[in-house]
Amino acid sequence: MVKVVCILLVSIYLFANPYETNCLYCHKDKKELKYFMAEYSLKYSSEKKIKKAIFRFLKNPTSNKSVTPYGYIIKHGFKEKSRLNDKDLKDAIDTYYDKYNIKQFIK
Amino acid sequence: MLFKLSQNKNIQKTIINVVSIYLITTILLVLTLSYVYIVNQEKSIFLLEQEKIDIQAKYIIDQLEILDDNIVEEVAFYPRVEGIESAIYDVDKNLIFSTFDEKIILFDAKRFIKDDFIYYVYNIEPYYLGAAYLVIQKKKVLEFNSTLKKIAAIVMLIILFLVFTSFLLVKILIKPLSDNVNLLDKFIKDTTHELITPTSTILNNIEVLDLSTIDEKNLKKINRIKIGATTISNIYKDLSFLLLNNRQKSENKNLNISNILNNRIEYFKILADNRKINFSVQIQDNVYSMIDMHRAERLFDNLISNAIKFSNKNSTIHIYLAQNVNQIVLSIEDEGIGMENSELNEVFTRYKRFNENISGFGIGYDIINSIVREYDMDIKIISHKNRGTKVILKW
Repeated sequence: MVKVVCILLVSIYLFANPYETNCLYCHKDKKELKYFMAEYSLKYSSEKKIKKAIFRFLKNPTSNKSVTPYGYIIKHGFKEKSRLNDKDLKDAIDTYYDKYNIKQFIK
Repeated sequence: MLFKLSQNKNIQKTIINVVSIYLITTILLVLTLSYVYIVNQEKSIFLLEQEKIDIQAKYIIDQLEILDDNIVEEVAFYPRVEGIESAIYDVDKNLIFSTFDEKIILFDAKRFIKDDFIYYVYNIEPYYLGAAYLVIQKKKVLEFNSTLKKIAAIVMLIILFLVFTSFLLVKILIKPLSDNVNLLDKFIKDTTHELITPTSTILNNIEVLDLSTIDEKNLKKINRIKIGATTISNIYKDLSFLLLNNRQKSENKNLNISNILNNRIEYFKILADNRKINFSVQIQDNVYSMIDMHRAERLFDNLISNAIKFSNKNSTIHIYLAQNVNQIVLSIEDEGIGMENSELNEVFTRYKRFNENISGFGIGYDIINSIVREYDMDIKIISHKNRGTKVILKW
């Protein structure tokens, strides 16, 4: 029984979306995620450019690549470099975009 | 007046040319002025429209800014403005949201027209809700269409007025010419009419003369009188045909043209004999054709008298008439002075004479041509300078 539970947990971890296993671990607040997407949209506009900007930032986070306000950085500090491989990182970004892109909130 | 003048092809051609040039240049001028006016009108209407659209676009962009500020908290209700439809596009020109159904492709133009709509494109900076472009769709301005209709109606009225005035002008301009033509017509008609009575009297009296009682010397003199009278009679018939041709309706009957042709040859024999010209006649009996008697005589008379006029002395005129299954062929060939190719091109021009030494008015071939065209005949003239001329008619 313990084995079955262990296998099940390992499988869930292995087949889980990198966005859920990596991003949501820290970013639990949905409003916060929506806010970041709004900031990216305001600065980069199109899907292609937003995804590219997020990827570049997560690979090597610097203040000039960040869209978050200075106060937020002071409070929470800078994010570490992502340890995900490019494919997983892109998958995670795709999922994030699908869930929070601004288009879907316009009626 | 125009009708009478129109009988003269050259005058008719001149009238058409003058009226055409006048109308074309004036219409072109009117159209150019209308075009310039329309373009200016369009510009001013567009500018006026643009001002209104600018205000509406600014309002939408302001609303987008407010929505962008609150997007985290709530759903963004896209701003709708009465009378216009709009859409927002991202920086890569992908559609974000639209209130109209028409599919458009964004270019760099600030304004473009597609189907019944005018599209105004505005840049948005920063990209509120991710929008880089605001596109406003507006139905084509009706005001401009009605202006266009008014201008078209005015242009049409001007053109109609121009057509009317051009004909009035032509009528005024050609009045002196027309009066002269009428005077000339009347003069020729009166002269020919006055000539025919004494000519007929001379010819009739010669016919009833008892020639056996007249000595040879006087017989020669009488023959000369007959030739002169026949020539005058022929000229009268040609001139009256030319003057009355368009006013007299053809009375077509199935006529024995073999007999008519033989009679006309007989009629002209005295003229031919005088110049020692022989007739070599090959006429098939009882060839019938639907033709007007008067016109058939004018046709044959002119063909024969032309052949006599242009024949050399002591030569032969070959006359051939035959009917095949569906076609009548008539040919008259002389052994005379013939014509150059350049002369052949102008042979049907009225009053055109190629040899001033030979008497005539230059109307023979014109009469032949008008009858040939009336009866849809095929005419062929083969001529060689100093060798003779052959006229072939087929119908």
